[in-house]
Amino acid sequence: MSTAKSLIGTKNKMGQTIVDIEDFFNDKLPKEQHFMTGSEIVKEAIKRASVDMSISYPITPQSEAAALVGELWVEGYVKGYFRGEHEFAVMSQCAGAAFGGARVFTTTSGPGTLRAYENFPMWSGSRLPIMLCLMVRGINTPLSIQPDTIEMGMLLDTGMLMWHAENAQELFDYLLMGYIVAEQPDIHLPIAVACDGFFVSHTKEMVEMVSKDYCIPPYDPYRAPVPVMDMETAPMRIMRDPFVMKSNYISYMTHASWQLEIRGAIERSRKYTKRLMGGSLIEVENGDADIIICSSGTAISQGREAIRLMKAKGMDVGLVKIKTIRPFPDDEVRKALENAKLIVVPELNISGWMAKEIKSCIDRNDRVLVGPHVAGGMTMPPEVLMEEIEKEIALRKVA
Amino acid sequence: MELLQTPIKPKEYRSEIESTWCPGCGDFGVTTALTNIMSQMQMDPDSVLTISGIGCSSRLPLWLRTFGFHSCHGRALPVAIGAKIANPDLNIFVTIGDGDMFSIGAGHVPHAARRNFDIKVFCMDNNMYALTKNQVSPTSRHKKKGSLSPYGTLDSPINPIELMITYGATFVAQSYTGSMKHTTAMMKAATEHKGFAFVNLLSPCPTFNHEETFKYYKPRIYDINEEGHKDLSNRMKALELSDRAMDHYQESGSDAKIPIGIFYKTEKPVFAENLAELKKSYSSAYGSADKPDWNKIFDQYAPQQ
Repeated sequence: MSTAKSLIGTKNKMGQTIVDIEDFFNDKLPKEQHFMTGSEIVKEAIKRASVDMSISYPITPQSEAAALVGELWVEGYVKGYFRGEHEFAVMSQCAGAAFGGARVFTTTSGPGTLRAYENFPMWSGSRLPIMLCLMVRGINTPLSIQPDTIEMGMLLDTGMLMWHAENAQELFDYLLMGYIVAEQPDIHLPIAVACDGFFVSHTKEMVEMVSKDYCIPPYDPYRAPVPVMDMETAPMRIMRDPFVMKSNYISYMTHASWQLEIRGAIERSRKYTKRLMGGSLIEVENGDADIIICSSGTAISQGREAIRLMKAKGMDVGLVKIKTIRPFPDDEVRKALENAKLIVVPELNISGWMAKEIKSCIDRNDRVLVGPHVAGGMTMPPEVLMEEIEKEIALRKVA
Repeated sequence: MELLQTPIKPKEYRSEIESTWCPGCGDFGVTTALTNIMSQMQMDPDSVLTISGIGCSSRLPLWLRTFGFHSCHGRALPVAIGAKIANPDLNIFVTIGDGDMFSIGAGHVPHAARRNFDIKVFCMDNNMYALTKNQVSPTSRHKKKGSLSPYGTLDSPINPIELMITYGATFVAQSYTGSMKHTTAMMKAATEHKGFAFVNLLSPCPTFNHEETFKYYKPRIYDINEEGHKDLSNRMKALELSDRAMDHYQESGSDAKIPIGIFYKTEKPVFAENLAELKKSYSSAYGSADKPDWNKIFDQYAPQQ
């Protein structure tokens, strides 16, 4: 993995030893266990992430995580900390900080994500590797502050990388891995690490982590493919030169090819992500079963519980968990679902965007059961999932 | 404005939804004052639209039996403007908080004021964000602590009164929700004013704000109108008075008094009148606005013979 190698083994001003990202996930370094909420885990991850700047604006359920990162600034682990006047300002301020060569962390939820939306394609177009921790929630109206993954569906085509943590452990891991992947010179894109609000952000779990005496290498802006604050050199020159004022083929082509390059960078991120995530962007359990539950986030946790209940009733159901949404693990999903007769896609949103993603990458996509869905903060009891699967089995005469 | 033939009691303007505010919240006074005013002015509840954004104060429309709209954070003013343009006969109250109005929605404020829309803005100013559990707002005092600024904010507070006069609001007042009589009087005067009226309501949060409490305000407030400020259209005098409105925030001047009352009031055509005037001028040259003279309009673009 390409990082600022020369700093490995040295200490930063907080006395933390800078280690290779891979050492966070092998057995080289001593590990400790903590029983913490997802918000507290964000603080622990950022403490080890050599973050230069954190900027945010309060919104439920992420306010607590943002406040805890503020404590890191006081302790000296984060160099800069600022509260903007609203999310639109915050995400623009993040862009400014990243343009200035800083490693940036921000976090928001639901309506805050949408308020800031215009910035996200700007981040990716400007190749700013900003970390956005999304603690997803419902989007009004009627107002809901509860978990709902609809905003992830709305971010699919912003040109950002997007990963979905199922639990606090993955949230910790992905925040650290995310920086390293996003900052690779041939990627250099913003990344959204999402977790389900409240279910992950406010629930205590046991999380294993490397001691706070270690941290990942700091961001080196001089390794960026896009020169820092340099408007004279391509590709940033496209922002300075008045293409927007010209109606000609060259200006259209410039935009189109740059957007294609961003998509190409998302594709190139697979190799780095796979290496850090243990070789695969998906997780498969009992993959030979005729019926497979396939989704991401806490919907998959509930799926796992439904599988246990169904096993007790003599039913054989497998599971495919999707870890990265962008890039979407098309090939792996296609292969894992090749022999499934029924593919069940539980989701915590009204739109069913995950089912659409799965349907678009497999053949015989009538095998996909789009649902069950819950939205606006409803939980997905495993019994409901089980009932839906039983109904579908009877209907389709599977097994 | 259509008035009710028979006045109804204030409590009949209340909905059946029970308030979710904390006991002792200053915003209760605003709800009471609003229902009193509507009753005194014999307003038909069906002619009233109450609009809010997001925040504790923004729940107020739920407690009323008028039409209501609980919009997005910071967007109460543009929603109100849209409603007023679509239906100029509506009585529009914007019930908003200091964060909603002066932080996240601040970009809308000068334009709503300078265009002089005939809407009434009641800003429940608790000097902080309470719904997200204690963050500083644009009206928080310098060094005030909050969950995102545990060692005190570095920001200087804005002065809502001074700001609104400068932005071109045609009615600017301040009151304190611990005084029902004064709050009602100010909100009523704002409602009777034709044009963009702004009332900053010092409304203590008993749960998170332990500095600007009822106890803090009571000995400090004084009524500028009772103490001689009668020339309400004198803008320079209003600015001079408003300049002292935040003196109590300064450490050295902690005993400084807090002015309440009407700072500024002037008459200016409202947006709808300006629009009507424009339509009238258009009518004379190219037929009437409702019946345009298309030949005359197209002739403008015809090549000259």
